[in-house]
Amino acid sequence: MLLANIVQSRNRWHDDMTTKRPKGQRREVAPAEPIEAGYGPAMTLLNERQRLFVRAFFESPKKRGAATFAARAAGYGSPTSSVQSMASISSRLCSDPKIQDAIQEESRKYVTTLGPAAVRALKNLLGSPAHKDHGRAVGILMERIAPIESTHTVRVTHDATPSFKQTAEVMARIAELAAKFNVRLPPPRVIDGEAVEVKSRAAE
Amino acid sequence: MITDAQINAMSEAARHAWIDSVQGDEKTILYWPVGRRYTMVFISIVKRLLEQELPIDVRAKLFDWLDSCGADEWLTPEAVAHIEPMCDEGYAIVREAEKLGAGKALDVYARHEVFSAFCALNRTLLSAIELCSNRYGYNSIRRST
Repeated sequence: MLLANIVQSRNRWHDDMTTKRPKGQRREVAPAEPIEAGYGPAMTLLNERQRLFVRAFFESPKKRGAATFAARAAGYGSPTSSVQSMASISSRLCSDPKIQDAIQEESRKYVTTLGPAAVRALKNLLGSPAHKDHGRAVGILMERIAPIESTHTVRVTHDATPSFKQTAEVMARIAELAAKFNVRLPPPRVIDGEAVEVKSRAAE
Repeated sequence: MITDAQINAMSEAARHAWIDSVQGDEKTILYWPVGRRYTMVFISIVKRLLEQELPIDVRAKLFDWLDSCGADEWLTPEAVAHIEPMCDEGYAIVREAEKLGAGKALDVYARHEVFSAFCALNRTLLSAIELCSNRYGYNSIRRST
């Protein structure tokens, strides 16, 4: 059965590769399965327009005025709203703690997805020995692969015997003198607690 | 209750007459040395303190002091053991006396009328004096005077 499947898929691949495609026409790509882009907890708390604002904030082509761009893209204000009023709206949105949480959440996602690109850039840098930062790239990589190990030896010595002995002696003398001079000592402090029976694994 | 000031103000003849007239507890107090009076008051204060929560080192020092009192020429370990801790009323007198300073406070404890008040509040002070007096035959001397 498995062998038949492999043969069938191989034949299909062979047909695709050997069949002449008309010039200019691209090979058809099977439609991707829809992936449910779930929002995180912070994004879920926002309404649709606020969510759009957050997403547009990340996709803004502008370095400056990104928040204003995002507010306009999310549908805030009106087509005739001035730049000042849009700036005011975006400022209000940015200072909203719920939106700030959502931005933080989305930032984490973006950073995660930028990982492959960063690795690719590092790989390119390693492949270019002439690059001025080639050495740094090697250093960064080596630090990740073989971090410098350091060993600390901490010797802690507890020599409590004389102290315990002295305390016991003092306590014994206090008890003796209290009995001798008829002194009622205050009752010892009782620490309140709850006893919990722990069953050993062997008993279980 | 006659005070120290009144006793000091008496003429010699009047003082002798008064000494001859005193009886019972007052006589016991009168013949008990001043230094031992405040020592006994202090013992009752220390016993009161020892009944409260104290650091171990402080407690040990106070017990050592009590032990040294028992080795005194006049006070016996039995008498020290016999003295009860000071009551709240007695301690109120101590707090008032302490306002004069540590040295003066001791003089105040030993005053005839103040020590009599302590003895009235804590009868074990008087019985402790009796215990010590019996040991050294002090009672017989006192009776003869």
